[in-house]
Amino acid sequence: MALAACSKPADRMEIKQLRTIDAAFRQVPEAMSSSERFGFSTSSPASPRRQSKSVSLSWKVPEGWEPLPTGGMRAASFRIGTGAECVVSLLPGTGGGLEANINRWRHQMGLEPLSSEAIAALPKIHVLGVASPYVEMSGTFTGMSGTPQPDWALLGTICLLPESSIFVKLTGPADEVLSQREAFQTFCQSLQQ
Amino acid sequence: MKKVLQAVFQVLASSALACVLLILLMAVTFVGTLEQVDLGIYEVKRRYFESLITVHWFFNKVPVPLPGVYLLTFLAGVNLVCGGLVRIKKGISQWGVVVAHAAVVILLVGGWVKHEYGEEGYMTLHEAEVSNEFETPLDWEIAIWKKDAAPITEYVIPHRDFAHASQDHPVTFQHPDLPLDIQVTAFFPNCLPQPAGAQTDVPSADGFILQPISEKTKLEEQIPGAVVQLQPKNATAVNVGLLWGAQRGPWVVRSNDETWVVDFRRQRRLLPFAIRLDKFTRELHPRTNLPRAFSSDITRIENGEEFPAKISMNEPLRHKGYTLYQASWGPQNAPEGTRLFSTLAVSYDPAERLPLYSCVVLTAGLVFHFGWMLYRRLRRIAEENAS
Repeated sequence: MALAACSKPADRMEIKQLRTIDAAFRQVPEAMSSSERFGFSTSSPASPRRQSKSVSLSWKVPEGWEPLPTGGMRAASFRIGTGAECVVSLLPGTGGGLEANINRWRHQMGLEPLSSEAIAALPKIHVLGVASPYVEMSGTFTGMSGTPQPDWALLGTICLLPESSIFVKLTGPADEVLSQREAFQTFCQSLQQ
Repeated sequence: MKKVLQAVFQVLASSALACVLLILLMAVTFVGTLEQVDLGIYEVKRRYFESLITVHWFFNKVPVPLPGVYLLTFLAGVNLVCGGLVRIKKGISQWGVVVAHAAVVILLVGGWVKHEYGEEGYMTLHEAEVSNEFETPLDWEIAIWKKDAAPITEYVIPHRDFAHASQDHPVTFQHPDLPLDIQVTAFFPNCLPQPAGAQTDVPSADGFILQPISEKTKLEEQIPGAVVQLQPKNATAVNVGLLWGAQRGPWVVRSNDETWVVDFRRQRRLLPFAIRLDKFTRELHPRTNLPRAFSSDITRIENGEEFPAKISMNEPLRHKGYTLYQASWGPQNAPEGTRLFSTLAVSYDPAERLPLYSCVVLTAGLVFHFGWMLYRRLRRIAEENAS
């Protein structure tokens, strides 16, 4: 048994579990793109299994925030000024966890990760009645485009609900972002279910 | 040699060992319960309660090896058998004690059977929905089946078979009846899908990548993902797709003029019967959205026959070793008229009756023991009075 446990895992295996299921138990939607499956757009309906625990949100838009198209995981998106953007994302569960996501944001800004204690000590704002950590970061932002953006800033908060999480993130040139600090917090506190 | 074995037996049967084991059990349970705050219930169960040995970091600085509860309860069982059943003096005055010890051994065996062969999970149903499956809370599976087939044959790959897959060590799965091979080229225990952007050093599909997230997240909160390739056995075209634990629907893909469905979901287990949710009822406290009570009127369907039942918070349904409890419901804060769903916790314990039998045997043993003690006492008093 000990030898088996130490042996190299197989790189070719036969599927041993076969289940015969009545077709009525499998409601399969039409083919969805990855963007639709991962909630970045919503041209196809979600399966009842995942849709059932969704949260619908409403909010008060601050002055000067221009709504952008949204869909799926993006519950709201706004253009602010010339280059800043605020995105409200909804994810099931904890969306990977508070600490992991805050440190992912810090990584995007080229900053060192925070310890659990430092994250627990972050200032809080109330979002949907939940005391949620609020972060401000400045540095060189590297997003999904892979292009470093020096002198950028990030404002963000993560609200953990019983079955889902709300991520609000404002990124852009530091001067534009930091001037929106108050509007950002007011916007987060205006979110309602 | 015989002397050594006798010495070992004396230690295993000693009441001193019993005391040490009980103190260690208390200590490990205490630190494990505290760790639950940071690690979550499933990681704590794995580290402290289902292990032979564990290392606890006191004040996050001092590592102290501790025996796991699995090892401690095994030793407690051995101690009980050696001391309470084998070494104990046999006679009518000890008979009740022996029976009581045997009852505790039965209880330990019941716990072991549940740990080794039991299953736990959840079943979520909307009204009028029927299901004979429940989902386990931690493990995942990849299932593939041909769309529009009836009945459907699902080819299921369990979590343990692809959990080690990586770009350097992809794992290919095949079946003689399946016209394509499935290769898992990467698995991420906790990740988020992101637009691929300019990143070229990670596998992408359909313009997306899976971004790994620190595994410090509690086990039950992690959302894994996998990169898979479908390779038809008689063609060279390969389809690459990303699977994610919170995806809104399965990956539906055309391969060799056939449509296949590849789902990534929590591992499912089949019940030997089906459950239909007929009606979900929630009672709210007056003028609030706070639930006072909630229950599910269900029908158990087995061999074509229907058996109506009601599951409420303290009244589970028990059948064939399975227990279905009312666990939760949703969507929370839904206004009147919203279609609600009910979530039932499913627990399977092949030794479900053993705790009951243990209690009966324990009661019989203690009643006999104390009855015998009372009888001896009364007889002695009567003899003293007579003399």
